[in-house]
Amino acid sequence: MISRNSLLGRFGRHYPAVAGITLLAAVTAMALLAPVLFPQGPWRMVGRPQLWPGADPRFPLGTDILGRDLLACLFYGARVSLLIGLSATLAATLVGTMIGAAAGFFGGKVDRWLMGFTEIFQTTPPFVLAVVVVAAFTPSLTSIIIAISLVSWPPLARLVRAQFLQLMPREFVLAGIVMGMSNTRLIVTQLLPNAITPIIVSSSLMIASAILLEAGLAFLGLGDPNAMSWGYMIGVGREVLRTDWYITTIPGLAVLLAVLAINLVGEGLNDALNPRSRNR
Amino acid sequence: MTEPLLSIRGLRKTYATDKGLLTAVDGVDLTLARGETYALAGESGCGKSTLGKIVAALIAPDEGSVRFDGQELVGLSPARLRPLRRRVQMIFQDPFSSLNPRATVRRIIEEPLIVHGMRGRTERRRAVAEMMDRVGLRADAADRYPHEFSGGQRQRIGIARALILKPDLVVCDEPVSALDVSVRAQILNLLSDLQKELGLAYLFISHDLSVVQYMADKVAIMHLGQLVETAPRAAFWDAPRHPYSQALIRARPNPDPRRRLQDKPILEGELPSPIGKRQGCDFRSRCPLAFDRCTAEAPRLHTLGPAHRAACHLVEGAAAPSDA
Amino acid sequence: MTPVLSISGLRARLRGPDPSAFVIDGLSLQVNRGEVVALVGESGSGKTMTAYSVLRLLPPAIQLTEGEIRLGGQDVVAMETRRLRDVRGTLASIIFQEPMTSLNPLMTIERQIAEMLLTHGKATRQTAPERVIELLELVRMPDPQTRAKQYPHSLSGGLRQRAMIAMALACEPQILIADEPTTALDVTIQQQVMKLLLDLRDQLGMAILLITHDLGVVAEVADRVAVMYAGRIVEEGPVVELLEAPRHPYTAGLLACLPEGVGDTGRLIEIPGLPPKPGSIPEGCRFAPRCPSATELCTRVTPETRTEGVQAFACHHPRMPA
Repeated sequence: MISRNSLLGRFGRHYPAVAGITLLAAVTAMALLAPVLFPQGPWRMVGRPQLWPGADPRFPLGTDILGRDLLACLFYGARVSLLIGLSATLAATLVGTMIGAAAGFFGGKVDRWLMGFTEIFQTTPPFVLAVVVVAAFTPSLTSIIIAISLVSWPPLARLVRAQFLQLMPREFVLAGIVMGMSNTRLIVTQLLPNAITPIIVSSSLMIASAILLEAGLAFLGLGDPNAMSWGYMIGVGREVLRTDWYITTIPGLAVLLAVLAINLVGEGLNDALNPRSRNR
Repeated sequence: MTEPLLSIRGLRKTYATDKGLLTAVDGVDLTLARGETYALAGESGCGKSTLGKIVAALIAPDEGSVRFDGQELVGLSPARLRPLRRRVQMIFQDPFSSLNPRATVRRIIEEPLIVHGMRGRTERRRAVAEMMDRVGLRADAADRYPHEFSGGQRQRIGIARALILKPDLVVCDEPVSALDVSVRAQILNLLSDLQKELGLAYLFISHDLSVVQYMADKVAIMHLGQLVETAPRAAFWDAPRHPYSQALIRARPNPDPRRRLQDKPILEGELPSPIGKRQGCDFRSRCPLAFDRCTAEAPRLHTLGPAHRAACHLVEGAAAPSDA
Repeated sequence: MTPVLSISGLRARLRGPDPSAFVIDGLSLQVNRGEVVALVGESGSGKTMTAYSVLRLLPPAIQLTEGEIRLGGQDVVAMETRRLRDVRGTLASIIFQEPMTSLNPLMTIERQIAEMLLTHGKATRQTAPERVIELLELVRMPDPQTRAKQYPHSLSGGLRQRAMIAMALACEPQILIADEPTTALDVTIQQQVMKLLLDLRDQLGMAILLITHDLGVVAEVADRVAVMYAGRIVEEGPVVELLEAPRHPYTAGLLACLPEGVGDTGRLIEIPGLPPKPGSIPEGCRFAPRCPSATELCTRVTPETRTEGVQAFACHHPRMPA
């Protein structure tokens, strides 16, 4: 049985989070089932173009301007969105944590230098920077992931630095130094475990913003031309927005729901992991 | 004469603040023998904690030397310092922030052994179990987390962590000031038992003179970064020479209901600021015996007897002529 | 004469599933005009919660279940909120351990004290500044004109506590509740603040309920002492008798385990074990598991409070009187 105060127990009592995780599970299932349900792939022009949803029972969500099955596109799009969201977040988390940890741990010159570097990234609007990076390379999954992680790590670095600055003067950290721990050991065994909660929470929220960024890039035509993503779908429908608005609206709703789901899960994690909210 | 365990010479530490240069430790000399307890007492901000952290090599001084068992600690590279670290350990004030909240008690006590490369999990476990027993922790505490324990129990965990490396010197930074009276007695007794068993030397930092009186073989009183008096136990309590020491001893609340506050002379005034340049004796603004010379000239430490020194113009006449 | 403060049969418990988690468990105490009463106990004994309950300042997690609290004859427990606001500050005031957190960091000292005066109609906008300076002079604030214009963070701990006292005394309360007022201060400053409180008591005739864990301070300033253990007063009496010849083994233990009480063995006397937590209070006498003179009777029957001479105590096996 799950005890009321265990992590899962606290998470489970957080109903929005449960809703979020259910939605997220659905998106994951879509991503996994795409090749099973639609073995022909998303790119095939299978029907008449611009079929409205429900017009043809073979295409419950209709077709786009080239006659591609929107349902199949939506399923394959989930794969790309999740892939980009997760990999970009992972990369950004690693970079952000390392830079923030180094700044907070060493302080002084290292801190000033690293934070100056971080600010350079923060003074440019993330989306503009991402556009520049992707445009500079050829748009591909890899370059998109790099661009998104490049603009996503600074807030995390600041967060980790703040956590470290708070922990450094704590006596258990001093005790670690006195017992002769190496810097790496100190960071890995004493500091990181005590800073991990906010890292997890903000990383989980970062997945959502990565998905949004990707959608934005693809909408502007900076998506990977070989990857069917929700952003690409929205981009395709752009020209017929006034007549066949469903072509943009359906993938748009998918993005909205996925981002909402991830935010709900992030909030739930925050409440469940935060010891101060435990005894409420 | 054999080499002292710890010998501090001309130690200085300053901090740059918005308002100017703060002198935390201002030219301190101190010598500590093996197995001895030297208490460092004074009011908050007097620099006693900074001095303790310099000795534990947590802070580097601006000037001066800290020799431990003949080896200079100041300016040593981290790699050269490591083997010495196991011989100088520290016990902290706050039993709630001094233990890693994410580690089990066993892990906390075992950590120093892992850091210093003690191989063999079973051997380490045995050492941890022995140490836990020695500091009065039950064996079933090993798998629990710090927040499950009371302040006193947590302080025992901190003591076990400090002593498992069998150090020669332990810097105790206000080890009982966060504890309740009844628990305080338990921890003080434990510290003095362990000292006898393991031959430890303590640099014992405390603002509480009652605790100092119980623990210390020698007492050093600090005031604004400087030592104003150092003395062996008996000399300090029977014949303190510095007016500040005398005032602190008088100010100590004593559970004797016939000595009422209204009948006691008390020190008026506030501590001068430790920031910026100072002239004359730092204590003169609060000193009942201050005279002209105290404004003009800072007194230096005069030797009054074996290990007994005081920094006051008034003891000059009584000082041994050969003080250095 | 009615006492300034009279508490009888007070019980308060932690809200939650356990109905027996009492933090104050049947406490009665009186404080008379001009008297300094010390309420002594270790952390978790319930002394601070008792102090808070007098002004109905208990945190939401704690619920007053029984008992009566009278301030100057008026029932605080049943009092409506508006009336309570009048009482706070005029009948009773409280000062806390950490003056930094109990003063508003964004307001000058003058503003904060003036606010207090205006709220209770003790001054007008015109007269307030003058009255503030008077109060700061009363608490012997050095250079009151300058200090009045400063913010709490530019004052030292001792001066902040003086400002706090000035604010507490602004409406001339009949009783000042001082919750560990000097614990965060250095000994020399501690003495100054305690001496100030005693002088103000003489000058204004107010009573002081001093909440503390420090028997040294108690010996120096209290007229009467009540010793609390696990939510109850276990012994009460005049300071000299209580400290020189404690009847309850807990009081005796507290005195004996001070470093001053070191015996011939050179070791401190210990009180073994830990105080019980609310909800796991042992049956019978709650001190029995840690008591050197406990018998089988103590583990079964809760001792009644009885009075012998000037001391009252709750113990089956009291120590010999002096």
